[in-house]
Amino acid sequence: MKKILKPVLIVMALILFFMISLPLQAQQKGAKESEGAKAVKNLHFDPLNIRVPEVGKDVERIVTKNGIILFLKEDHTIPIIDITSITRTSAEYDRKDRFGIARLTGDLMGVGGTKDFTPDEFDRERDYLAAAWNTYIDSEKGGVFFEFPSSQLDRGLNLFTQMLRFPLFDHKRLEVEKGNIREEVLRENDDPATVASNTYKRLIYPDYFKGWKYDLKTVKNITRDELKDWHKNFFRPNNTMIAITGDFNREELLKKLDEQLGNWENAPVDFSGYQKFEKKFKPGVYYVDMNMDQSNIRIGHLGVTRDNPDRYALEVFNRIFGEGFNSILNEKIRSNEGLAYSVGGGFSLDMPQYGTFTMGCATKPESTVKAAKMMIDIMKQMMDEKVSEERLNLAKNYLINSFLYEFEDPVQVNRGILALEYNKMPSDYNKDYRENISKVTAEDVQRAAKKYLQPDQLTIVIVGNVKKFDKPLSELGTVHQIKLEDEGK
Amino acid sequence: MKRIKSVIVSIFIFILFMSNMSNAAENKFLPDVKIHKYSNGLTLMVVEKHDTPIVVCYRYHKVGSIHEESGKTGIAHFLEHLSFKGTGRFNTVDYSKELVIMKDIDSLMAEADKEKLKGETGGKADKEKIAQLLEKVKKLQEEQRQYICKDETDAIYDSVGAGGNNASTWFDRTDYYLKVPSNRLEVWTFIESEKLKDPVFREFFSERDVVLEERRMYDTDIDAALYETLYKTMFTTLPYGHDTLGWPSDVGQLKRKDIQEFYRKYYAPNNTFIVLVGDVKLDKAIELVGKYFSGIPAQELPDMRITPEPPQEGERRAEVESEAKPQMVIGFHGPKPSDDDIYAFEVINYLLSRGMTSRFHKKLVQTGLAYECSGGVSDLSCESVLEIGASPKEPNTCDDLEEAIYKELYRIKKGDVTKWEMEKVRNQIDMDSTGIIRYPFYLAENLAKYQAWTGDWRNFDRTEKLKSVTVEDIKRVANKYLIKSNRTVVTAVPR
Repeated sequence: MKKILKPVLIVMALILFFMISLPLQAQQKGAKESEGAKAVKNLHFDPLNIRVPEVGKDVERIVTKNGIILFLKEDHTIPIIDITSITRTSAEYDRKDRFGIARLTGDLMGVGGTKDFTPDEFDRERDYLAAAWNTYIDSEKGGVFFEFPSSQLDRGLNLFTQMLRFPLFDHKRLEVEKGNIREEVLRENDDPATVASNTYKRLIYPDYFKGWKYDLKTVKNITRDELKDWHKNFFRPNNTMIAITGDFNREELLKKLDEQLGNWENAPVDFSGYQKFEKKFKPGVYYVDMNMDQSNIRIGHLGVTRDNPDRYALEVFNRIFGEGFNSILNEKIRSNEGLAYSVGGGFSLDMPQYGTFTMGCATKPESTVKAAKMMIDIMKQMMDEKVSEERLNLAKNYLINSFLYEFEDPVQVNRGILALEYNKMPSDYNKDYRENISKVTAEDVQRAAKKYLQPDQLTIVIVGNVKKFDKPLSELGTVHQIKLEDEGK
Repeated sequence: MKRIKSVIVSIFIFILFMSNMSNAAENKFLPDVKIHKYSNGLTLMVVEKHDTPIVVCYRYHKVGSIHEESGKTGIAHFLEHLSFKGTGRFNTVDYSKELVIMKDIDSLMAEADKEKLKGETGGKADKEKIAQLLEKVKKLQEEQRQYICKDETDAIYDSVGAGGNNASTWFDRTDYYLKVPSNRLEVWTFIESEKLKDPVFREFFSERDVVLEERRMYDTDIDAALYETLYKTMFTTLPYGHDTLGWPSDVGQLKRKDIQEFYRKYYAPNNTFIVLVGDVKLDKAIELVGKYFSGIPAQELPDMRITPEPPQEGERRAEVESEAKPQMVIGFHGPKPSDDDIYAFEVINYLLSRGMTSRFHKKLVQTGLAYECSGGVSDLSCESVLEIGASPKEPNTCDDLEEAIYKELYRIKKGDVTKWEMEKVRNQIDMDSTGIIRYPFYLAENLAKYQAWTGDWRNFDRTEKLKSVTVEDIKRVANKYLIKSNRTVVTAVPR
């Protein structure tokens, strides 16, 4: 980042001084404070100047004549060019009876060959560049990620374009990827943590792809044409945003981008296949009997969408409740009782449709029901009681003071700007973030907890050796057994 | 099998003992590292980077699970956990009162542990007695809690916005790291120096339970079980044969005084390496670290006597019974780090495992024989290991997979390596070397490791040595190490 003073831009408030002055005395959760903590408070800290990156200043936004939104950021500290491309598509357009098309389309774009290269030739070209890469379609976007040495600009841009615009969906490679899905399904019961996670998702998300299991017969019958049609529909310049960061010359890059992407045709995109799912609950205790020395527990229900109005209160809630060493879950279940090594929970806040509220831990069989009850009690406490000022300020201080890690390196900065626009967040989101967090009160946190937590609607999933549990599972609710299917065929 | 694992291992390939320095001057993208030694033996390395107001703070101790005694395995890792529990001045409002209670807890738990040990070593434990003792201990713990400021150092770090606050223990090292906004660096030097001067291993027994839960987590993971069995079987004298987490029965018997002794022996400033990467000026760093750490007295370091592994005399095979689907790991003993053969050994793995044109991917995965197959070279201070993890795709078996893997190794031994492949591997090595500049934690770890084990941080840059490996080198090294008598095979089989 060039440090050039531009007095004329002062009015745009480019430099944000670190001005949040929450009382530092509230660092631990009780009124207690050690001699050391007091001494830390007597240390002097210079104020910190943090730049929040802005479009137009740190990242250049260009719309090409065929509608691609480009974000460019030059950075010459390493001889690399990073291309992150996202297209508006997702597995939310996948029908349940043809489930797998989105995933296979995304995967095959990277491995199935392209217009100018057979699959093997493409592998060779890409490996020779020692490129890092990925192609995928996930819950919200279709991504092509490509990173290569800056000395190979022409080759790199060409290979990137081939993947993005001209995938071949070679049938042999398609068979290999179908085989991977099959193998994934066959192996999904190998690991109890995965079993817990899958069981939980399938109960929570019956109408959303995250809760669907791949049907092997369906996957087998997915055709190349279905993948080609998917790609043809969604992967259009007017539906794509690309962030490019690294060791390039702007004019040269734009010229070459035009050569590669300039004749990519606009077309209207059919978004009609989008599936919205409703907020439903599936209360109960669902257990999988597995002979393991440690139980895996997942508890929760559907929560909020990205654009919910209580985002900041929920971020603070998450930090207090279940994130980090000083969260209540960690303090009580791991640190005090030694019941678990891994424990945590909170609302997922970045889903376009409903994310979950989930909490979980892994503990020995003899403390399974105890740990589950403790987590539920702590959850209820968040609704019934206001958190202390100490806990509140600790969480807020952390969120505010660690915000600068969103902008550590140029690739991250550019991708962050790209994501903000793609996710339709307000353009001032970064600028106003710390102030918005600082405004959150203990009342706000409790109100958000009361509004979004549903203690009577909890889906409780437990995977473990039922015979050795400390108490009967019926103490947690109505019990159902889940038997694992063994897809031996 | 986790695909990521081999990529990470390949990227993080180091050797720890090198006789030659590599010429780092050619690479203009190499970081500018400054080193400073204090009179108490503490080593500080600083890399200035002022593009963002962040400092990555890294503390490295040249001690790990290979330094553990039999019967006390898991102690290095347990100490790492306990390092977060505060000091005489932190996490407490009255340490002298705590101390009295802790002594009582220790004697009660010593009795309980002794009783427990009876049950574990062929006798019968009095469960009633243990339960009564634990009841008493619980009450004392509650009493002690009134003096404890729970997880206070972590709370302080949180409140100043420290990120990535964590630690790790492995065979050869223990490290503690986080990043801070650059104006808060003194918080780190203050707290970390207190942890070295005057640690208090409070909440000992609840943390012992946490460590045992961590152990259980890995026990339920077939991947972890296979690798642990591999190392157990490959190493009969070198202490790589026991896992860093330790045997559960050992951990369950560790006492506070064991930890204190281990800490005293190995956490001396002359066994400590601090690396700061980021928005800090060199003279300020030297001043700040000196202010807090230079007063800690040096210690005589114990004799790190480690029994080398005798050459394996024949193939070893083991099975792990589980409900998991078929998968396997194969391990080959590799060159010692001081042996120049290590470069060819690593290049062999690039050829075998890196990218879609790698041998394993092209010949085993793309053909539908394997679901996953890839290798990694483990960076250990005493010797290197090539680990190959693989799982067959139905209806193929582990036997089919094993045969195919050896076929590829055979081709390498014959020198069946193309010019194109060698060029490709050199490009991959170059790309990997940029990771040093991009990722401050990775840089810090490398600098500390090479300074600690070779006496010169510059040795982390091995790019030129790796790139100068020839096909002849590859043939020679493959025929020396990738042979049957040098290999160990562990397979997951149904119960």
